[in-house]
Amino acid sequence: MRSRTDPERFGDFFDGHYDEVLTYFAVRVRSPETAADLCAETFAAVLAGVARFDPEQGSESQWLYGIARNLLYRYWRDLRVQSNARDDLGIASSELDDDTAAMIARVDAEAQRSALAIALDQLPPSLRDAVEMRLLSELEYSEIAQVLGCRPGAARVRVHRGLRRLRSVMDGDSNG
Amino acid sequence: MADHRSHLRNELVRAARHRQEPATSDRFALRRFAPILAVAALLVVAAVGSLLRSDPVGAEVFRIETLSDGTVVIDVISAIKDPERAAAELDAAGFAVSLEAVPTPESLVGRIVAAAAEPAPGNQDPNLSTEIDDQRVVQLRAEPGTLGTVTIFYGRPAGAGELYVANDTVPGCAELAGRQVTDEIRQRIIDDYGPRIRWKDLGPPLREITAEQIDDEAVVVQIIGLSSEAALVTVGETAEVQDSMTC
Repeated sequence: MRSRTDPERFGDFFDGHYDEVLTYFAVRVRSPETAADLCAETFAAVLAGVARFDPEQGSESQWLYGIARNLLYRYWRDLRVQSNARDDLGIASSELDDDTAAMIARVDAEAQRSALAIALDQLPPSLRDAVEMRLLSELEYSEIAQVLGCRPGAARVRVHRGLRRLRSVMDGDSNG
Repeated sequence: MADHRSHLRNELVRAARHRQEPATSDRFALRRFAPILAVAALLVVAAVGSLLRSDPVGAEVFRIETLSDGTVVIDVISAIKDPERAAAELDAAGFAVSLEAVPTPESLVGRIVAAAAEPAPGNQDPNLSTEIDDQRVVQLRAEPGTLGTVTIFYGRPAGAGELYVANDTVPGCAELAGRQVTDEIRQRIIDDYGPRIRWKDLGPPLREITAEQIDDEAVVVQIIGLSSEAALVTVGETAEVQDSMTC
């Protein structure tokens, strides 16, 4: 893993995962700019924290997506993208170009067309957010409660109700 | 202008050069993730599937389910019009839950407005609690074998002279009805208004609140932490809703 600090190897690593990481965020946040920002911070955090990688704790993919997930959690919580790693590395930010924005929009559109996404969109926002945070972002109920501004018990119930409604929708039962 | 990928790549490679360390491993290629949506769909399907293993027991008024962690969710699927029959439904489901009617605005009649749990005397750590969410679903948490009393409060038409919270008159405020009352706030109201406001008249629908008396007939209550106000009115006398009632 230490070899990843080799500039060329890190470049290869970036090339191999950029699309995946960008897609990961594109289907979870609505703003293309936010998705691109989270993607950039993820790779910066990987580079900044490479010395802490321990292969015995999990694969490199797990580590990469663990960082991505943590950044997403913080975004859910604070509604702002951290830039600590980029700041530490002196990485300049860039505005989102049209091609990348179009790519994110395409990914998001494809996600929106999936049966799951269609079903999720039929849930009331409070239930949809709870389900997405629990199942897609794997937040704890306490974290979901913090984001939604409710108690953990209420967050749990929202997830429960959301899943039940989701099951009805996917079964074609509009009575949910 | 460079595209996002190129710009970011260049910046990262430049930063890596500054941090370059001797290579110790040739392992570099990371396995590609399965498509994100496929994973997400599996997670959802698995979770949805777990619901199929829950144990719906309810009948006409309640849908009662026991989740995998033992949490009991009591969902009201129709208004409580016949309390005895509804109570019998809960009894048949094996829950020691009683129903109590409290005065509410018309829109809350027959609907759950609060729930309370009291552990049996001598239960040191009963882990018994209730909570309702903004969609009036009662969540009951109890360890197996826990003794105690659970009361579900539902709305009945307020009679003349009875006090209730008119929070249903403001969109979005109805969800506030089930919040927990703290002793501190309860005492504050009693201190401020003394015998004029009897706590039992405020009843379970009032939860985390502060209160300000407007005149002899009306009191504005503030739902703590949610920037919401509702008018406490005396039915049949004054039903004045303050301009400041917002959610």
